[in-house]
Amino acid sequence: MSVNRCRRSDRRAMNRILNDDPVIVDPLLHDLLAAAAAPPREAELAGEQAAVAAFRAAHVAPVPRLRRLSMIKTALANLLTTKLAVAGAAAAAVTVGGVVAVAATGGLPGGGSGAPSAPSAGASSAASSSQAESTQGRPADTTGTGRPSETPSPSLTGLCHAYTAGAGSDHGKALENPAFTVLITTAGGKDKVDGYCAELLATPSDAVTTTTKNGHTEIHATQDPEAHAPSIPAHPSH
Amino acid sequence: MSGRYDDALRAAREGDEDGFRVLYRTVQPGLLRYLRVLVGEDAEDVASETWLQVARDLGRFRGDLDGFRGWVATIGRHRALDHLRRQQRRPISADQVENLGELAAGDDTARAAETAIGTEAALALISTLPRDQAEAVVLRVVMGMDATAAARVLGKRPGAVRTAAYRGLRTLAKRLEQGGGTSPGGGVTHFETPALKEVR
Repeated sequence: MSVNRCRRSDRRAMNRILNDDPVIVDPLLHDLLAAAAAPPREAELAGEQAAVAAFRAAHVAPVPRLRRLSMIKTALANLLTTKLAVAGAAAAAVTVGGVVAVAATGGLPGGGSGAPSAPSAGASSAASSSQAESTQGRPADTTGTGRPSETPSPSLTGLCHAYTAGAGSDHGKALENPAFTVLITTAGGKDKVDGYCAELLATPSDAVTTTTKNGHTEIHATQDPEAHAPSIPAHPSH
Repeated sequence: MSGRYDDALRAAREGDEDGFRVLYRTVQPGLLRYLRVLVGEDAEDVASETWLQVARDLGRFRGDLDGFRGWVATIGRHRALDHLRRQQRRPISADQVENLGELAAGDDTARAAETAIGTEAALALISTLPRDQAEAVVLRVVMGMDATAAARVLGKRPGAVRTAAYRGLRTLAKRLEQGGGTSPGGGVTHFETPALKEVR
């Protein structure tokens, strides 16, 4: 039936599709190819929303990397000497919570894009970028180079800050803290953590955003170098 | 016609969602069918991966719609080959062809279902060809590329693609004849391809 409907013009057209190939398009073959090239079906566009979400995420996310880096460098210069030492000390003092706070903050996707000295800005930028993340239909790491792949390193950086800034306290003991397990594993052993962190911290990264949400901002608010004492206002939620 | 797509491309590159939608709707059906021939039932997953990458890298793309189609097909092909390497699985095999008619149920009208069956079965039959032939046939017939564009996607010379497509079509014709004269999916009605329409 359908065979009869395959007119000569169709055959010519099919030959045209195949350019100058000397293909003799017989009716059956013609039907096969026409079926293969039939108009789109709705079901074939089922992935549209996910694709658009990915597109939206890709075009919301990119804060120019260079600007971020330079901001971060400035922030580093301001923070490294005092505030981070305080943060680290606070962490080393007792609190697993402190360590987790630093690590978790560093690990927030895109958290570094906010101004580190303004907690609210940092928090809201982190929030908006994680929102962008969640609108994405599928995790971008299926393709290997999506932003999520960046997240582990900031949190490691956070751990390193916590670890090294506690200079003078007992590192060996600090590493017993389960919060450092990831760091130890990544560094390749307890004895390698020093070297690993020295190297990691030599490169500026997002982790300086130790300004946190959820009440962890005391870390920065506490400017007093004497704050090494465990009497620091501890971190309520962790 | 092409102006609309150029606009869509430009808009999409600048982050415009509607532009991106136009591109998606234009290219996705052909891409999905191409991937169906490469990875069978995993085509949807691989297509998703492909569009993720397209969405991410679109800003770096330069060219017209034909170029875009080729670019997307190339990305899709790489994702598909990665997928095959991971899965170590073969694409749809010949003995699955018969079952495919039942896969496409769920469309509203009988005619739509008929189309679906025909398309799926046709792709399944094409996917029984050696891969280079199947790819050449699909890129040219389904995605509407000329031999040069298809060759770019496949990383071959245009002559090699022509030969592969020709051999593939000849084999298909032979199989169809041996199949007792029924077309794939049974009773495939005649559907015009966009290319056919243009020629008339």
